[in-house]
Amino acid sequence: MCNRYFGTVAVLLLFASMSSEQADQAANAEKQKAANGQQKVAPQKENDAGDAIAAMMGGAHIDKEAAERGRKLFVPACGFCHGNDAHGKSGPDLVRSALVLHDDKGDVLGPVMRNGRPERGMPAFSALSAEQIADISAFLHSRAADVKNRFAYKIGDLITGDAEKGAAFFNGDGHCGSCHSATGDLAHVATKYEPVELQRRMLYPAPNLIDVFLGRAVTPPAPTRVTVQLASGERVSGTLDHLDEFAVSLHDSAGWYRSFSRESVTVDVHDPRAAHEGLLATYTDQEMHDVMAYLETLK
Amino acid sequence: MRVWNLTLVLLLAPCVLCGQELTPEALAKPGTDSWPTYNGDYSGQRHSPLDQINASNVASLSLAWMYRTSNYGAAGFGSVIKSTPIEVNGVLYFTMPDNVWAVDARYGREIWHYKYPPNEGNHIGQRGVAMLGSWIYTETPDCNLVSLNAKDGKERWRKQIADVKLEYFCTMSPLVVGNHIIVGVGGDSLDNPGYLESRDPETGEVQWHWNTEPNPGEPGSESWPDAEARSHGGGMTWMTGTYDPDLRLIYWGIGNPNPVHSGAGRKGDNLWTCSIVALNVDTGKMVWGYQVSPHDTHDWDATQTPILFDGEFKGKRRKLLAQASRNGFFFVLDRSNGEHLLTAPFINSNWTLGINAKGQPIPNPKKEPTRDGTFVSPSSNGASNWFAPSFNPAAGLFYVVASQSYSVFYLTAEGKAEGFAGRDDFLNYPGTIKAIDFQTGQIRWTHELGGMGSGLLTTAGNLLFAGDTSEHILAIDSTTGKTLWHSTVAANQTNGAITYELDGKQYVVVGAGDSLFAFALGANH
Repeated sequence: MCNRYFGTVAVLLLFASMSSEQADQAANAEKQKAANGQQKVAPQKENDAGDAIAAMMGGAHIDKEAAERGRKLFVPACGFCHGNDAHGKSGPDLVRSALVLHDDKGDVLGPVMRNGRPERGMPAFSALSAEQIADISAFLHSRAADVKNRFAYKIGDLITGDAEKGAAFFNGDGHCGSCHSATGDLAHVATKYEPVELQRRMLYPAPNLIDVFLGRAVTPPAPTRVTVQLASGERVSGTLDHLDEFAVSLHDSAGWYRSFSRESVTVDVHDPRAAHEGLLATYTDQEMHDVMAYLETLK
Repeated sequence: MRVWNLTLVLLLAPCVLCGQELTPEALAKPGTDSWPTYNGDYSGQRHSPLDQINASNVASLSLAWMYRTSNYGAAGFGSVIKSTPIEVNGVLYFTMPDNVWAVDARYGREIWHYKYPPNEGNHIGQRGVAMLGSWIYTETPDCNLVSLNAKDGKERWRKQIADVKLEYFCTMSPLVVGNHIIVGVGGDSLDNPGYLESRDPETGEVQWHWNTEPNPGEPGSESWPDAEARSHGGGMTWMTGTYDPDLRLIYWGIGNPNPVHSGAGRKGDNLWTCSIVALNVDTGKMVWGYQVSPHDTHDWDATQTPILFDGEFKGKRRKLLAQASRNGFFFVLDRSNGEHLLTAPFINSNWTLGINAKGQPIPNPKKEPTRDGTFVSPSSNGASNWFAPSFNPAAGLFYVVASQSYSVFYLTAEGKAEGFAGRDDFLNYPGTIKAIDFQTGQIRWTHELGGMGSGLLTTAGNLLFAGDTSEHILAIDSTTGKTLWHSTVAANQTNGAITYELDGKQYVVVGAGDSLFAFALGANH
């Protein structure tokens, strides 16, 4: 059963990260789609996430095989001046080049490559076939796509802290040990998550929102326990479904859904993330890196 | 009798017809029977003098009509009504990407629906149309300015504003001043320079062009290390600005610099990115600029509406401008000359070393994105975003949708940094409304929304209209922050509410998902 509270929060979070300009409430679109009974976009493979988002954000489709053939042609022929990654060296940057971006399968680049630009010191590559030029074009478009699509950017090298200090924080100022144990719930935690995922969950334990949006399997967050006290004095406890300004809803211990107006009840929420929220206000970068280094030792 | 009436109508016909057109004068002083621009008027206050619906009777507010869009086709998550409708002569005009609708403002009936052809522009959002005379103006995802006949939605012409192949995309509601159609651009994924343009209302041709990045030798050009950085410096102009008719100045919030998360190749303040600028509306010449985030590396566009109002500040009557900026700080400036008056935080951010003598937050270099991540508040989505703020002159309060968000900012670029060059991993996304005293910057009250996603409207009825993220539309006491009324609309509000009065009845209209909802007082009032 879908945890509505989580779903709402998560979807909002996700769209917060979608874009600089419009990072906003596309959440509503997602909810709308759900309401309309439409399927979420669910890519087949892990590394399609960036592509799926890129497709929704606009942007051209890249033929990856052509791009790889093009790369093999580009590096020996063009890399010396333009850089093997096409970011430019003595020759211009071809990643954010208007000429390249206007090209379609070599229609613009072809004449430039075949004739060269002798006035700027670029030799002619007259032996290139139309297919080879189209492949080089595909490679250059793939480089622009790599730059444009931040959701496919690879995050790495993030274990820089001091594991001992991290352990001290875990057991000391962070009070992490009051809910977690290195030999209990966190045993082998470093083998369960990639470092970037682990760092995020360490700070705030919620699934990757891109994953949620793309309909991938995610580890659901721990359920939030709630107790509602009615005007009669009766207390109803269960797992929280939804809480807003006006209503609270839950599934009780027997599995039944129940909802109440907040006007007539007292609500006591035991959010397992509350301690994490508290730490968000005080974390330093060094503490974050140290605790991360410590968790990474829990193989 | 009927014939006589008809004759009378025919005799008066020229005036009646010209009364259907939207004149520059009506734009400068809009009546309460209209909402003729993105922000309702040039001030950006989104504050209506209407008070038929007020704190004492809002409890009986009910649904007058609902209009559900269809056949909009646009792909992705842009297919919600982020646009603020304009309302002129009883007709609402609003958009989604690639779509414009005209709908009866009294009864919610569709009058026409214009569809722009499928295109490769980013379809993430569309914020609305502008109108002048009998023509509608809208920007398309692939950056054309399109002019439509307001009567039937027929296209008159389309003119390119920016090159979609370079990754520009367009979402903004144009600003109409006199015979100027002011258009802005968006898109910061491939290091393009930002700009503003004024277009001719009849032909769509360029009247003036202003670049975010100064030309060599111009003030601000020294804030870039070299021509390469400056010419790829970003600074988009994707939110509708405001205008002071007496000063003939338009005020615009400018977006973040590029490459977005890497500052190494663009050492310096990077003017006029993350700034508020004042341009002469007739010439496009910059009169003053104030940068709210020097050398930004966190994607904190300063595009939030620069709201204009007049008031006493520390004993002196001034023409003021205020912005609650995405970087978490609230600014008050004198809009006649850009003099800084106040800087105050509206969330607890952690990215500054303090405030400098000019009132600017000083960025902490240690909070720039790194390979192993920096822990920063707010997230790249900001302490606020495009969600319309509002200002209530009677209360002296500035209302903003604010988020105490946290994120980890990673630098990912290998070699030369281009495009975003990094990204942040969001931790949370809370949302509140904050009421800020413009004299002191103090938070008068805070109202929880869950998350954030829509804009604000205030009225002389002492009401603030907003949407929470549990699918409610709220009417809040604008003095105390207490909820007085709410309604469930089965989708979260996605735009900023508007209000107008027709035939003696005040309407409040909100967009939620793909539908418009109009509320009015029931038959008992």
